[in-house]
Amino acid sequence: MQRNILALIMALFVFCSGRAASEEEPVRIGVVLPMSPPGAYASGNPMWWAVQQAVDEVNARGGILGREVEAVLGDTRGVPEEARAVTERLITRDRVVGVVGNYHSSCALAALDLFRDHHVPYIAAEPWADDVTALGYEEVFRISVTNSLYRDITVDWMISSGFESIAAVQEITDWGLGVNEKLTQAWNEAGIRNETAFTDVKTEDFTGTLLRFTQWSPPPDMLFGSITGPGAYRIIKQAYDIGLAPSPQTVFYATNECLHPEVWEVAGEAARYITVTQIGLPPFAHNMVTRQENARFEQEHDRTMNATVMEAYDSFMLMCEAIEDAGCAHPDSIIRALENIEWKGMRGTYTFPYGTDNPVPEDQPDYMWHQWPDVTLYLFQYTEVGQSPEEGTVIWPPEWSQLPEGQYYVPVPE
Amino acid sequence: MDVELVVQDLEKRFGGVRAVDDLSFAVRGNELVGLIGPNGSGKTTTIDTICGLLRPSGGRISFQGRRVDHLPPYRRAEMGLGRTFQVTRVFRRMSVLQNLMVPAMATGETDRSRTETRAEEILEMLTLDHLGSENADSLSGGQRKLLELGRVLMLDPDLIFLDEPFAGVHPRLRGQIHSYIRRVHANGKAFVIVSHDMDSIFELCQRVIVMNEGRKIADGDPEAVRSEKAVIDAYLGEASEREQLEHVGSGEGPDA
Amino acid sequence: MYGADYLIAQAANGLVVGCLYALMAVGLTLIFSVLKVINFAHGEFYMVGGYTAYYMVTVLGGLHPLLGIFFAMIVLLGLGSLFEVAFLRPIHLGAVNRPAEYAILITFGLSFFLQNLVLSLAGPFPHRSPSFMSGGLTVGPVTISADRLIAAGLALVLMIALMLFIRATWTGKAMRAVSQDRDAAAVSGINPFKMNNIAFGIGASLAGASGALIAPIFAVVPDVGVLPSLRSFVIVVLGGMGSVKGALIGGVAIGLVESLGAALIPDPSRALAYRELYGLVIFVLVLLFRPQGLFGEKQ
Ligand SMILES: Nc1ncnc2c1ncn2[C@@H]1O[C@H](COP(=O)(O)OP(=O)(O)OP(=O)(O)O)[C@@H](O)[C@H]1O
Ligand SMILES: [Mg+2]
Repeated sequence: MQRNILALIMALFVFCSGRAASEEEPVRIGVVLPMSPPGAYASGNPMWWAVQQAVDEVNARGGILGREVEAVLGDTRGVPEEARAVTERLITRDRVVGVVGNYHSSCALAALDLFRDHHVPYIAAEPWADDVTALGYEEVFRISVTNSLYRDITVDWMISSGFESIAAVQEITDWGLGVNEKLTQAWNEAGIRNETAFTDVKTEDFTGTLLRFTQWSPPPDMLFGSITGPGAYRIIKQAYDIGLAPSPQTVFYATNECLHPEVWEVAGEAARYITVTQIGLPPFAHNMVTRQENARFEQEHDRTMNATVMEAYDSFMLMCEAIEDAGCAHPDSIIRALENIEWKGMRGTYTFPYGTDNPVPEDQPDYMWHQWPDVTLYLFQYTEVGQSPEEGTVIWPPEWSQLPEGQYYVPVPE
Repeated sequence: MDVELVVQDLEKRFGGVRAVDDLSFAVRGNELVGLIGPNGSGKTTTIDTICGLLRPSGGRISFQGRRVDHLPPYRRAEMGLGRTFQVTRVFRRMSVLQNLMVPAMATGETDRSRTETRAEEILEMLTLDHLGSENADSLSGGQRKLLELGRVLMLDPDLIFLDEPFAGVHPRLRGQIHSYIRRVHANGKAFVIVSHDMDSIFELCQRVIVMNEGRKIADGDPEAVRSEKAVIDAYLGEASEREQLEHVGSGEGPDA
Repeated sequence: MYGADYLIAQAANGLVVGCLYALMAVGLTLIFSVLKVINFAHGEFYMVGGYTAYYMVTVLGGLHPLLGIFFAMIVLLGLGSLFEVAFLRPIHLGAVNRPAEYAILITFGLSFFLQNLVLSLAGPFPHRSPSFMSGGLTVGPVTISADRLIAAGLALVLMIALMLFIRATWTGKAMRAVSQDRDAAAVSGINPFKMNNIAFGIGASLAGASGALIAPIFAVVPDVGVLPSLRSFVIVVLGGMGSVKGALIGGVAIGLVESLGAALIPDPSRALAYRELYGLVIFVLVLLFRPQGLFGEKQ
């Protein structure tokens, strides 16, 4: 710690002294998100609203470095090539001092070397692919979960729940294939019989696919509807309509798309008892920042912030904090500041222990580089129609579970 | 109603080609006019321009005392200008009878049974009555010619342009078409007939217009036109037609 | 491996969904047959139809869901006709230098515009219209929700109505004439512009109807039309470009192929992955062996 602080002071001295920031210019931070089709615009838009909330707050208290802060939006449309182009535009034309955001891993990965080549700090908000941090770029940080972490935690739950057979419907996207590869490997190692049906993410009717699983005897213990976008809701309704899941025999495990209230509009009754992951803290572990920001967001947008939206808010704030800590907008200073940061956001206190001065140890996976180590996720079940995620019952991990000891999910009544 | 078509200084260029060049003529009353000329002399282009499928590059066209050169083809059809096509254009995926029903939309005849009766009469006259429910697709080339003739008659126009009506038609039928044209003509309709079948032209028409390289080179009484030097020169390049010119009425045309 | 019950259930689902596929494709093929334009905005007409029904039923009027379909059809009829007059007529007036490219760009542009317009007006989150009717029908091994049955039934009714319209009315005849030979129809006194307009309006309206029919089943989002529109192209090629009967049969066939393909191919990970691809395989086979499609005309 001592050494880090020393290094930080050194860095500030070295990089900031030579550069007098122009007082009038706002500090520009790039925000890359999927805002329109074919990307996951239903996530991208509220993420952008959260960033705007952060901008307002920072400017209301005087900006950073005494200058106004400005968020420059780049719409990736969820297309890797466009993500790359728009990131390059933010860096070279808009001259942003840092970039935050991304929802799709494929988009983050497509633009990753731009951060390295242009030496611009980037905080990944939601991309899960291990490689985003595992590549070890000096400029790249992450506050979301990684595919491997996600697998470790959720598969532990599946094993504890005693699932012997799992049926999965998996979207064919970089995200879906990445998750699936890790999950099936873990399932096989755990001796869980499993079968994955791959499908186009835009499929309207999964009924044909699901009917196939109704032929299992006995029925699967768990159905994993691994679909993002509105398909996430449709597959629940369609599985329910043919009596597959959620059912007394089969748990429905859904993607965190189902954190949006629209799950009730589209799937209705069918979504009662589905299991969902939230990449963050359960409501009783929320801190003041979480409550305050959430209340503000809800007032303005008539919905609560889910973990993904919080990630957008936190990643932007984190970048602002780092610039403020750095005392200037020089990339080396910002990176140094991030490596030494300890800042409390909506999802906990952010630190990046593994970086330049403290390389990832042998016994830790590569993706721990510039990765927030305390990132966590929990599983909950909706138990009533129309619940918000906060009202659901937390079922995993055991230290947070609201279920009696030894019970790992709420079964659907016969 | 008396017909009056006036074409003045009509011009149609395709890039550098002057397909119709400074053409003026008029058709008045219920004339039966032949329009002849060597291949590529601009006859079809003239019809296309008059009925509105092609936009003229210059000149004016008026019909029944009204300028029509800026009217779309269906408006000219409604006014009483009808035509057939040199390369037949029937509605191939409709029955023969249905083909004849199409122009009824334009004539405002909404009584289905009356229209059908009329269409059946025309089919009978054209000896196509046994094919009424066949797809137009299945007709032979000659039968399609007849069908198109029937279709333009259903439109009941005052002035009818026929582009090569005898090409591919069985010689036995040709006489029948002649007599039908005469019959319609007797009812007060005017015709402009384009044909390489000189027998038919000289047998039917009271007046012949000759075109060459887009221009009108002769216009008048058939006998007089046939002996005009310009006409003979124009046809010199086409020996067979020249022969025809000289042997009108004594043999079968090339379309037989 | 699987019982007959299972296959019957799959086939029934394919049949029902196929009717919805067909309705959309029928609109696309009608537009193509008369205007000779491939409407790349067809999926967005479907999307707008879904949203119109949704708003009519939930927000504005509180209408019965079935009336929502009717309104969607009216709105799309208007939208389609206006678009045709403003942007497609220049093609047929000969005012456009490269008509084929222009038609692609302008309809593609409309598709992009509508997606983003609706995204900004209606927001990024999905909406589902209320059910036509709750519950479902169970016959032997097959259970189908009432919404699906009603949607498929209405789709069939609309398609039969269209066929009757085309066969039995003067306007229908005129539309067929224009589709088969524009110039010959024009010199026979038919106004081809009017027929373009009617055909485009009806085509758009049918797409709107399919969108409204699926709104209670699949929910609507701004890009809900993308996949259905691709599928419609496949169906139209399969049935024969411009053939209404072909689109109907092609739609049902694709519905069946998708679900039976998913049902019968032994390795599920592969079988289901390419569910949408079965259509494309058919597409390629048709192009190779019967380019005119099932009911199309040889060129
Ligand atoms: N669409 C077109 N584009 C370019 N040139 C054309 C076009 N239509 C006709 N032409 C040219 O215009 C000239 C007149 O052609 P047109 O078909 O009118 O002659 P025609 O007298 O009907 O000939 P034929 O006796 O062979 O039918 C020819 O040189 C032809 O090549
Ligand atoms: Mg000609």
